[in-house]
Amino acid sequence: QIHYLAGLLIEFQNMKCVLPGANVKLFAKAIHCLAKLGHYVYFEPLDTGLALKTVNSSRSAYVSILFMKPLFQVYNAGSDIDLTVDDDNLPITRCKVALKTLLQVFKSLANIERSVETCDIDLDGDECRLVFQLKCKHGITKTHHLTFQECESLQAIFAKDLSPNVLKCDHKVLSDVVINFSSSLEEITMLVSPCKVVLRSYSDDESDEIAQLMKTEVSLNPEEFSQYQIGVDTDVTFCLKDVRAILAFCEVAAMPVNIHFEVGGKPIIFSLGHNGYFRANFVIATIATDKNSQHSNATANFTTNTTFPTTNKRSFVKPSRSKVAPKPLRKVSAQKTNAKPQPTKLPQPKDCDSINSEHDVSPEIPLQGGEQTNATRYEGFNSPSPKQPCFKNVKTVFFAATQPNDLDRTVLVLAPDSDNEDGT
Amino acid sequence: MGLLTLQNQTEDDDFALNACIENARNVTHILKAVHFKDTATVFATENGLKVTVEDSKCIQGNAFIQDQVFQEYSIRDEALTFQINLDILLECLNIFGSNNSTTTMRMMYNGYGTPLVLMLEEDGAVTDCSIRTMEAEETLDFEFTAANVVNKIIMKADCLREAFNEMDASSEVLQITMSPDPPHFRLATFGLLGQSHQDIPKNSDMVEYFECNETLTNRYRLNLLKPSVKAVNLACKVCVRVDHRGFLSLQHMIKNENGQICFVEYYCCPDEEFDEPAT
Amino acid sequence: MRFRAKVVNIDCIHHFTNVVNTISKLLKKCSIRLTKEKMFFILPDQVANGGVSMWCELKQANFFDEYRMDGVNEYELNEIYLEIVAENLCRAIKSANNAKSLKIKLTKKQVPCLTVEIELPSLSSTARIVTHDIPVSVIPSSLWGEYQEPEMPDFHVSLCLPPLKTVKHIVERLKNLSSYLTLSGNQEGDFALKVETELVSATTRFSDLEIPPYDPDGDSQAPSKLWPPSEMASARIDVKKLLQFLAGQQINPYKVICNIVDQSAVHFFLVHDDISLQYFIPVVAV
Repeated sequence: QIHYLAGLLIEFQNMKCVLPGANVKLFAKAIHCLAKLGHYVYFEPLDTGLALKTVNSSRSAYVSILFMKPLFQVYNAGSDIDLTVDDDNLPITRCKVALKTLLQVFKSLANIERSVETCDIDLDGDECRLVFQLKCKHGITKTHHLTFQECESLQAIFAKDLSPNVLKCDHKVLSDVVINFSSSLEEITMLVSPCKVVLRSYSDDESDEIAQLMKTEVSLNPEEFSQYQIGVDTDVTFCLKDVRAILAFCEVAAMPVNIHFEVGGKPIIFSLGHNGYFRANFVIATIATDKNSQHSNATANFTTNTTFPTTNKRSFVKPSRSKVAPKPLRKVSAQKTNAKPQPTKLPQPKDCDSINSEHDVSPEIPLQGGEQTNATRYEGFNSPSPKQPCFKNVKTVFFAATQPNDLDRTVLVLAPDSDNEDGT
Repeated sequence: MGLLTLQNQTEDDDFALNACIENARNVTHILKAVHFKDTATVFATENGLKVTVEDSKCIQGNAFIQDQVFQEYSIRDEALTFQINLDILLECLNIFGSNNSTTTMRMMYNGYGTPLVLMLEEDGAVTDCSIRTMEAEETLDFEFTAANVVNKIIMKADCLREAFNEMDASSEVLQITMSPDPPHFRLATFGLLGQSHQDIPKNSDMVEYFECNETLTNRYRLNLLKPSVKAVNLACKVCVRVDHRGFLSLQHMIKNENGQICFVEYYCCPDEEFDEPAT
Repeated sequence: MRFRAKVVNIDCIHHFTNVVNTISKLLKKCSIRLTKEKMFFILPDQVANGGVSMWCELKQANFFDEYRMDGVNEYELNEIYLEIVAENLCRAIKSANNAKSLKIKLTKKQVPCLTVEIELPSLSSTARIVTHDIPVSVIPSSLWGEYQEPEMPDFHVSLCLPPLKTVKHIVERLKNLSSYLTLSGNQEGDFALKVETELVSATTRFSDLEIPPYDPDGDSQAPSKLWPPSEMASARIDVKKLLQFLAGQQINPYKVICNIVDQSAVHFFLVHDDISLQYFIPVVAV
């Protein structure tokens, strides 16, 4: 089989596709949105279409936007050879490009809308360049040869269809909510129950300084949603900046947005799409704010108003961390010497309190346990990565990492392309 | 028109330079096109004013405000030269700066060592400014003559404006190719993460005149050439010329609010470190 | 101590928003004084230390449909003094741009808060509710003395400014020429803004400006009688402080009175039906 695959590689064709002018704006807006979330965009030509993916540096946000074949004038993923037996969406060739570079190509949305007639995207494997050619009005062409890096597939495993909580609404509803929050606010908490949705400013610290910040809360009636399914009363806390980036994209796509989530600590997924044309998933980590499990007594004070249904603990696997661990992660709290209330980012079973905290860096990430049947709804997940700097409060890792210090090389395929590995 | 203009007419006959304009924006506009350094050299002759700004002995911008742009223009000597702080001059000219009414401006200069005096009037309010002038230093002579021009293209400013605005700022140079063969006119940059180029073919309806005799590719320091974007932004047409040495001339045709045409010209010398153009 | 106010009229909401925006452009922290009749925004007198000071008052009845307050006690201290970050209040009220109602109340959360509750139209039959809790500190009555209306020293010249937009544009240009500006005027309606540096001197002059009528029974003060009407009184002030005042205006006063105390201070008085705002800028020595 190895020999057979080697032969195929010789006949390998490069990806080549052409986007008509009308769809370039959506593509450009997708790039702008991705650039707000990550540093690199992963190009993955699939049989169904071209997928653009990114993950942010703290790995708390993952985006996958799929432009399906019908959106293209020409779409050639790179090879017709079906290497895949089990998975017909297997990427055949992939590369990643710095978003800063790509933004250069799609800098001015106004110009793109006004003058671009077609956009050719070619992966030039020989020259190691990803080539974008914008054919514009008046016979003008703009060609960009961008350096890229080869990469593995970027894949987060999530199963939004299994989420107990599903909301669907016009993106404008969310935009109107988000606009009320301070631009400096990092995280937002969404509390859901069958009778309402409440979004409020989140702060993880009860210091005097934080207490002096303005707190905002917005409540929405279920009638504002076209789908309102709350299986588990819960609250989830996630990065507001990410949501703003997502909503900016939704505005251009002009499609309703779906929100799938379970409980704090499990990712929340924003998705939108148009059947057969286009699909976007934004998987955003949430902070686990289980108020019922073990906590220092100071925490109790902070958490009295929310109760968690007991069901939520079930789905977590045993974390490899101690309960005191979150402190070093917190920009604010790390400097404090007194014991301030610390919301845990992960519900912690009571039986694992005393693991050396030095090894704890990504505490909110439950390790994937193969035998844990309950733990497989959202995966991804990661080995401990001790020295990785953490800049943000929310972080959940969706991806296995072998070299935590080198983000470029950390992506290990969770759904490994075993055929490819065999072939090389 | 304010009284100021008329009242001062007789007294000011004594000035070495005395010019009056009903709409100061027609001067401001053109000066902005060369406003990439603080210091400007002003040459006044009976044909009008030339304002020159230079940087790094490699680039020179010249704004021409011909005497007809002014309602009154008199000069006592054959030529006058002085240096002035362009930042300050522009702030003063724009002091009223509202868009719905016009500022009347009188400009007076009385020779070496005296300040440039501006009197501005709008809606009954009056501003007097006195700006220190300095001795003019010699400006560069690029020895750019029409006879030595190898390639020349006149195009609408829109496409050049877009090209400049989208240019990869991480590139040190801008490489300009002009050729009788495709791609005819190419602007290329070499940034940190890739190479980009924009092509404008000679049959594009953006191109009004095309006369290229041989294929010339030259590189220019992008950070030096960048200021010319100020002129491109105001221009309706641009004439791009290159001579046999690779010297570049960009002539910008700018229309003022009275429909008069003024010119702003930039000269730039090629970057010698990059004599061998890449393809 | 209790305070609760409500507005439903959208014009009143916008009007109040403009007042708060103006205040927040002028200062970071401000004090709010609440009495039965009036609401005050105060930056206590710092002119002596070279700082600006501000005094803004509005009649509550002109803005609020409901207004209830109980001060520290019912008798001589029936007032409330709070300190608040002006920008927070401004941001909170921004949510009320198309509100059905705006409520402001004093609440006790983890810290004392001014809670702004806004009802917004929604896609459903029930309104969207936006709540902002703005932390405040309650100023004890022992310190109230520091928050009294600043006394205007006897000024030499009083005149009405030209349109604020015009003045603002000029001052913006002058700011790029110098950090200090000399403002001068006389009782005959002449007014000038001047900067002078080594490189440039620029003076903008206005004439025939309106002289505010002196009403012996009203609030307005008469200019000093000893000052000759044609004599220019002048004050050299920090351009940035003047610009802050000019650029932040959203109240649309029908008149802006400028009082000049020669070589000492400038006092601006925004005259409006519902609001009065005073702003003091001290001189800067050469």
